Amino acid sequence: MMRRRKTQGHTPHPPRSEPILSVKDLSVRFNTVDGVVHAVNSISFDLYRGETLGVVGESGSGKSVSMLSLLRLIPEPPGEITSGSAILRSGDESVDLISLSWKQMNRVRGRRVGFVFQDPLSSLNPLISVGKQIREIIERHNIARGSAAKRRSVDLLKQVGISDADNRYHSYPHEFSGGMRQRVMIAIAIACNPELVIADEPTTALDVTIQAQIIDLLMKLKREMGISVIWISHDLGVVAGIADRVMVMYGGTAVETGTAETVYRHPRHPYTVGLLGAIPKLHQDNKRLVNIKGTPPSVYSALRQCPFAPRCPWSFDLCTQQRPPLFALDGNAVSDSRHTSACWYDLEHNTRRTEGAV
Amino acid sequence: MSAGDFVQVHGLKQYFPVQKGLLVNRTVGYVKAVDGVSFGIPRGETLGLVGESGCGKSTTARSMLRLHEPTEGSVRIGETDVTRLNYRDLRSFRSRMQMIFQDSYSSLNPRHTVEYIVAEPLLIRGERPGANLQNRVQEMLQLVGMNPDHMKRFPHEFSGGQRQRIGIARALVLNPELIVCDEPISALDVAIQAQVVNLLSRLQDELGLTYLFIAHDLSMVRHISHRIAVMYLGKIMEIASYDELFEQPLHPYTQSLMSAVPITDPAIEKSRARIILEGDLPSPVQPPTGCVFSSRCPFATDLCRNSEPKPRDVGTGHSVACHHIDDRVVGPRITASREQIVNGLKDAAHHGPDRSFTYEPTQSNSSARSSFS
Ligand SMILES: Nc1ncnc2c1ncn2[C@@H]1O[C@H](COP(=O)(O)OP(=O)(O)OP(=O)(O)O)[C@@H](O)[C@H]1O
Ligand SMILES: Nc1ncnc2c1ncn2[C@@H]1O[C@H](COP(=O)(O)OP(=O)(O)O)[C@@H](O)[C@H]1O
Ligand code: SF4
Ligand code: SF4
Ligand SMILES: [Mg+2]
Ligand SMILES: [Mg+2]
Repeated sequence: MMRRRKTQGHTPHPPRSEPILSVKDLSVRFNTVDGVVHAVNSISFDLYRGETLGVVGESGSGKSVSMLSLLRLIPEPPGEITSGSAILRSGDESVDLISLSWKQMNRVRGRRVGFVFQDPLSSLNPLISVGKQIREIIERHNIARGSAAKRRSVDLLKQVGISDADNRYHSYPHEFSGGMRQRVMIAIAIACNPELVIADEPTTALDVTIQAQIIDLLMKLKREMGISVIWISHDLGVVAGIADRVMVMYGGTAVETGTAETVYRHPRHPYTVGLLGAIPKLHQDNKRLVNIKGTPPSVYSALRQCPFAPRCPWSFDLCTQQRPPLFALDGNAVSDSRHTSACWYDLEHNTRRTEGAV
Repeated sequence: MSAGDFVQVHGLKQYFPVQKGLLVNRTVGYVKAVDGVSFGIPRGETLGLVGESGCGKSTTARSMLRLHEPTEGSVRIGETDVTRLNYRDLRSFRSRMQMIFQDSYSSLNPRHTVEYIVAEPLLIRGERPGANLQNRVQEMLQLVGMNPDHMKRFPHEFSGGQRQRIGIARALVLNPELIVCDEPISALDVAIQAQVVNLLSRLQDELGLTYLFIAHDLSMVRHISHRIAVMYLGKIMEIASYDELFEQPLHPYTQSLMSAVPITDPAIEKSRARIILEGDLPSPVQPPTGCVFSSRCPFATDLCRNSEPKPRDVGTGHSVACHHIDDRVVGPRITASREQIVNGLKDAAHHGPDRSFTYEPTQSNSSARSSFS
C-alpha cells in the first residue's frame, strides 16, 4: 500500500505537563570476574506522555542495560544498580521503580510497562500456543478471566494484524515467521493497556520490508492507545522516523539529547556529528563516508574523563581530566524541548565551555 | 551482461531437493533457491546483489564459486568456464576467487592466531612457514589498516570491525581477482560499517579487484556498487547502474526496498511516501505462479498471476522483469509511486546535518585530528 506515516512529528512541541517517566543519575555496573564493568554511568532523562524517546548508540554503549534495569530485568548479581531513581507517574500517583520490592515490580512489569525485544523467539515460550501466552498475561494482571480473556486475546491478535486470528490463537511460536512472532510480542506488550512500552531493537532481526510493517504497526498502536514509547535502536534512520525526542549514548553515558529535529539537523556533540556522517544517503555523491577512527571505549574503568576523548578530533586537555557535564545548548535548561550535550567544546562558537551545565 | 565482462553468469539455477519419509527418503519437491539468474560484472567493478533474507543471494554466490554444484546454467570468470572445470583445476582456480562472510565470529577459527589465520590459505597452497610468509602476513595486515604487532593475538581480542578486516586480509593473501562479499557489514555498527566499506573501496582502487557485494538492503551498497541487481525469491527483478536505479527504480519491488531505506532526517522520514508490502516472503518451494512478486505487489493483475514477466532491457543496461511498468493502465500508477519515492530520497540529500560550526578541529589532539576523514 502506498501511504504516508501519520505523525505529529514536525509540529512544534506544545508545553507539556509533567513527564510520565523521570530518570535521574542512573548508574549500573556488573561485577564480573574480569573486573567491574561500568555499563551505565549516571544518565538522566525525561519521557513525556504519548511521546517516543529514541535511544541510539553503538553496540555496548549501554542502551539495553540502562532501560532494562528500570524494570529490574538485568541479572542481579552480577548486575547492580549503584545509583539513581526512576519516577513513573500516572495521575497523582508516582512510584520510584528503582526502590520497588520484587512483588511491587511484578505488578508494574507487563501491566503498566510492556516490552518488546529484538528476538521474539527467545522471549516466547516454545511449548505454549501464542494465544495462551497472551491470555496468560491478561489473567495474571486481572484484566479479564476465562472466555473473556480468550476473546480479548483473539482481539489482540487481530489488532496486531494477524489474519485468521481465531485459528492462529492455537499456533505455536515456531509456526510463525519472524515478523509474525514480533506481532505476537507486541500483542503481549499492549495486552494490559500499559502507559509505557520499552522496545529494545524490535526490528533489528527483521528484513527491511517486514521492519517497515512492524514500525508502522507499533506507531499506529501507540497513537491509538496513547502509549509512551522508549525505542532502542542502533539504526539512526529508524529512530528518525519514529522519535519525538532522541538520546544518543556513548560509553554508558548520554552524550546528547534533544528533539529529533534538533539532534539530526543540528548535532552538537562530536560523536553525534561523526555518527550522522557515517550514514550513507542514497542520493549523494561523496563516495567516502565519514569515518570515526578507533574502537569503542573500554568499559572496565570508572569514567573520569570524556569517554569519546580518544577518538575525538576536538579533544583538549580538560577532556581527559574531567568528565564533561551536560550543557544546555539553547540556554533553555528547563523546557521539554531542551537540547543538551555532554561536551567541553562548543562547536558552534569554537570555544571551550565553562558555564551552562544543567 | 556484455561479452567483455569479467564475470558472466548465465541462467544459473540451484534447486535443493525437499525430502520426506522416515526410512526411504522421497523427494517431494524442490527449494528453488536460485531460479535462472543472469548477470555480468566488468573487471574492477562491483555488482551489488540486494534482497531480503532467503531470496537466494548467498546461494547464488556459492553456486557461482561451485561450493554447490549448480543445477543448471553457466559461469564464466575471465577466460574460464567455471561450470566445466574438473575438480583438480577447480581447486587451483579457487585461489582467484575469495569470499568474505557476514559472521566474522564463526568464520575465523578462535584457536588460531591472526598470523596463522591470514597465512593459512598460503600454507594450504603448500608454502613453507618462515620469514617470507610472515612478511606477507604483515603486509596484508598493513593493507587493511591493522597493526602488524597484533599478529600473535586471537580473534576474540578484536572488535567486530577489526575481525572483518582480518577476514579481508585472509581473503586478499592469495591475490584473488574476484571477491564475493556476503553481507560483510550487516552485523556491524554504522560507524564501523563505514570503515569497512571505505576499506573495500580503497582496496578495489589499489588492486583492481572485482566484487560481488551482497546486502539485504540498499543503503550501504549504494556506496560501493557500480551496478546493482535486486533479487526476489530466486530471480533477478531489476538490474541497473546505481545512478539509473536510484533515479529510476522501475520495478515495484525495488521501489518498496527504496522506500524502506530509513532516512536520517526526522521531518522527511516521518512524512515520506512509502510502499509497505503485505505479508511475508513466500516459500521458495511453492513460489507464486506468474510473477514471483505477485502475491505482495500492490500493482498485481491477473496477467501477473498467470504469466511470468521476462527481464527486458529498457536501455543503457537497465533490465526489468515486470509486465506493467509502461502499459497504459497500471503503468502510470507505478510511475507515480516511483516519483514520490525518489523525491522523498532526494529531499533527504539536501537536508543533512548543518555544518554551521567550524569543521576543522583547532585543538592539539593531533592523533585524532584526521579521525573524521
Ligand atoms: N550480564 C552482564 N555481565 C557483564 N557485563 C554486561 C552484562 N550485560 C551487559 N554487560 C555490559 O554492559 C555494557 C552495556 O551493554 P548493553 O547491553 O546495554 O549495550 P547496548 O547498547 O544495548 O548494545 P547492543 O547494541 O549491542 O545491544 C556492555 O559493555 C556489556 O558488555
Ligand atoms: N543447502 C541447502 N539445502 C536446502 N535449502 C537451502 C540450502 N541453502 C539454502 N537453502 C534455501 O535456499 C533459499 C535461499 O537461501 P540463501 O541463498 O541462503 O538466501 P540469502 O543469502 O538471500 O538470505 C532459502 O529458502 C534457503 O532456506
Ligand atoms: S568533551 Fe572533549 S573529548 Fe569529549 S566530545 Fe567534547 S571535545 Fe571531544
Ligand atoms: S509483473 Fe505484476 S506482480 Fe510482478 S512486479 Fe510487475 S506489476 Fe507487480
Ligand atoms: Mg542491546
Ligand atoms: Mg545469506
